Amino acid sequence: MAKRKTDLGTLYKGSPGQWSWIAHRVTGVAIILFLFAHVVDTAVVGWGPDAYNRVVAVYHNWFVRVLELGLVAAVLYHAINGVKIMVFDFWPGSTRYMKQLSIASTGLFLVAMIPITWIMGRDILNLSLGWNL
Amino acid sequence: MAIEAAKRPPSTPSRRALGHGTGRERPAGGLELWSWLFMRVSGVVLLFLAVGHVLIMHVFDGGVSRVNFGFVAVRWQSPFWRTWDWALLVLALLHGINGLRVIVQDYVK
Ligand code: HEM
Repeated sequence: MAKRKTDLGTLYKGSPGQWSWIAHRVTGVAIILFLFAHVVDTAVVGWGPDAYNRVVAVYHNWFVRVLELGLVAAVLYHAINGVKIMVFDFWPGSTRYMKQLSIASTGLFLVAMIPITWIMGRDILNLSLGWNL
Repeated sequence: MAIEAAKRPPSTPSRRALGHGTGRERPAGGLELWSWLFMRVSGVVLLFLAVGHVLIMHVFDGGVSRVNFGFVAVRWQSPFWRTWDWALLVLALLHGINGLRVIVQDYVK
């Protein structure tokens, strides 16, 4: 795996799927790193209401909720792109439509993010600016 | 661990010309093939468990603003959610850590 130099260049540059490949990797790492923290904060349930409620108060902070929106986007992107990867894996003929499938999966992600950003963004604005959306 | 194109059986054609939009190339066999398959099988299950979890806990019905000790206590009374969360945790850890392992292999000789 170490020397994956392709005829197209290095591991990173010049291939059609490079951006989705990088994004899949970055989102996957971001999610597992968050999961490690999430295991710890959830374990605090075992210390009772006082301890746990203090910990989750962090997640109620408006700025942390902006980061939370990013986490939701990361999971959604990784999930949809993961399906795209598996389509190419198990139906090799579909790689002929790589460009179309990439546009379709990115489009699905973006469209799904519209209502999600609205729902979560509303709470963020209400919390940070005292609005009442 | 690296499987060179020349040693790969003809049934697994090289995807190099396609670039990386297709994900990791399927290993020819052995434990690496199982690891490759596991990423895909767990991915399909996580599609429901992880996306469902994110939508239920973070997007719908007030998101995390409704989460506190009482919420968790009530939620985990239910064997359904206990099983869901437990399966999600196990699969996400295995899938995520195996993913980190694959990444490390890409950069370390
Ligand atoms: C939601 C459904 C998910 C699907 C459909 C999915 C799918 C996939 C697939 C197919 C791969 C293999 C890519 C390849 O071999 O090139 C992968 C890699 C990876 N996944 Fe997921 N996954 C999901 C959720 C998660 C979660 C919850 C985490 C974190 C806990 C995660 C972390 C990773 C990591 C770190 C990699 C390695 C990335 C790389 O090799 O570049 N994934 N995912």
